[in-house]
Amino acid sequence: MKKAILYLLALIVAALLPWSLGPYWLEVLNLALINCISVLGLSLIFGFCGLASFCHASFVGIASYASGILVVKAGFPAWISMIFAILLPPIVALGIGYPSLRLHGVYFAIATMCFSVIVSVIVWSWEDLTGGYLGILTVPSFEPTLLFKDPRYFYYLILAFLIVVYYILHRLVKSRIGRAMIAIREHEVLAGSMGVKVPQYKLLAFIIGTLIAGVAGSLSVHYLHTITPEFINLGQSFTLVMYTVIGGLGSLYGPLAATIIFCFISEYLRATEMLQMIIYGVVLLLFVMYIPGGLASAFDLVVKKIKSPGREAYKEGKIA
Amino acid sequence: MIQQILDGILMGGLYVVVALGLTSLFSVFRVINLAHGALIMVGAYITFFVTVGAGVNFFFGMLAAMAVTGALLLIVERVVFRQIEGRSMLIQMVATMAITMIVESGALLLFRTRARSISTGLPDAPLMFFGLDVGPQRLLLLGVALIVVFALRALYKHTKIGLATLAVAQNREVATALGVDPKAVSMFNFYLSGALAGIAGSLLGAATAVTPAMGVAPLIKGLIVIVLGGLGSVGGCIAGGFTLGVLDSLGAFIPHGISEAVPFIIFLIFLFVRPTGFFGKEI
Repeated sequence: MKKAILYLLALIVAALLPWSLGPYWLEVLNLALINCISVLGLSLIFGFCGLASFCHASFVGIASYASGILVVKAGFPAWISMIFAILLPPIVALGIGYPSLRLHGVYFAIATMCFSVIVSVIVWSWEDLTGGYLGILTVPSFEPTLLFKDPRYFYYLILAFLIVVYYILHRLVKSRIGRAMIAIREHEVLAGSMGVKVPQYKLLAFIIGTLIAGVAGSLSVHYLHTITPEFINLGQSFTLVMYTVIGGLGSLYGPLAATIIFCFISEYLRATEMLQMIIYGVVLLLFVMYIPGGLASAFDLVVKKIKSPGREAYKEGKIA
Repeated sequence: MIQQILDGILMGGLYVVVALGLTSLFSVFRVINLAHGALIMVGAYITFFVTVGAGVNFFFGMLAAMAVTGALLLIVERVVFRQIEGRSMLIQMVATMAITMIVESGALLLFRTRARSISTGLPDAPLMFFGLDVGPQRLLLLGVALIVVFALRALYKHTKIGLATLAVAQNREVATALGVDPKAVSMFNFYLSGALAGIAGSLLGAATAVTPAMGVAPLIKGLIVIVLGGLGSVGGCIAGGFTLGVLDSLGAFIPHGISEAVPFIIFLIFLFVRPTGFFGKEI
């Protein structure tokens, strides 16, 4: 009951947010929420199944390009193109994942690094299709266009997708499938010997994760009305990995919090983009070295302290 | 055509040096160092500033690059890797990724995107041999690669620390029990890997141009080479490096755009057909 009221309150706040924020911060929030969706996908691959994927931005970008190209060059309605855009990344992921996920994790990591660079190269050089460095311009919004041209209504669309994706993943990681993935992350050989079909579950995590990347990519291109090669370089994938790790591996809300926090910090550091990357790198390194559980573990610790203040004292021997 | 293949072999020398640097860390610590590309870039800048700034010979520039990049990776080992020792491969890769972010953005902040070029001081004129161009600029890559290969071979076969490295790579616990100091082995290999990145940086800087983003391509190529050769195999690095060099230059015959994807496609085919590489064992 208490939980339900809390959720309802959060939902009301979220529903009122676009009307209280200015247009500038709403724009930032929308982009942050789209990033949240793609980070959720990476969180399943990286945080729950323990697969080192360094090409998540490429999958988001592939979906963006597919959605944009289908609408602008083939004249599809935006909703139809979104369906194709969501289905394309998992198909590509199958092509990379099937050969590399049967092997040691190193192979998968190398394959994703290579894939990220190759996608960039193809996008840059296949100008007839992708528009080269200019990218795809003037991508219309979802139908009804008049409604979703307004960022305030688009916000609800993004929020709806985010909630659905979050809920599905939340149920997934608590299910038998999710437990199998966590077992693989913890000890691959042991999980295999307990009867978990290791390559199949890895592939499943990769496919679901890239499917979610497809959702984020399609939303992004119809919201921003453009996609350029800047969106899919290796640095973007690194940034997504950074959100996931700082948020906490094996957590869903941690990466969400990290993404929103960092997207807003980015706005303050926008003037000095390179300095921003240096700061991010240092923060990430500090988290990896000293707070391995990420924001989620720090949050859990605080909650535990609030709920049972006596426990630590008991451990320290202050209470008999 | 034959000229293309020859160029590929010569360029392959560079890939061999990059791949050997990656392997020297991987075979002992099971770490894929994503910061290797960033170190290559640092090595190129050091060579540039030493040769142009101080006006000394290119080879001294290369030595300076080796010293600096080796020392940099040694610092990384002391500060970062000691802290995260024993954690999963995933976390260690993320740590090297963070270092890449810091170093490459730092270089971009300091040097901007302007391309600089390094002069090797070797004669530029083509040297014709049976109708093939084997000028000194081209031979430099191959020559240095061969020196590196033989030096490493001597190091691993005949020096105490080299033998200790092999022992730790085989079985860390037993090696430690037999009196090998794993910390010394770790420091030595991190320094060696960094120095190899420095050499690769000098060579690449001389062959192409020096820019803050120059490290990404050799890192990817190096990663492909170590898979082609079989992870952790030194002989495989050499075979894989030259193979990739030749395939790369033959890819130039394919229409632009797709040719860049050739190494990756070969990599995927290799994963299907022979994931352990030319000489590799199951890991």
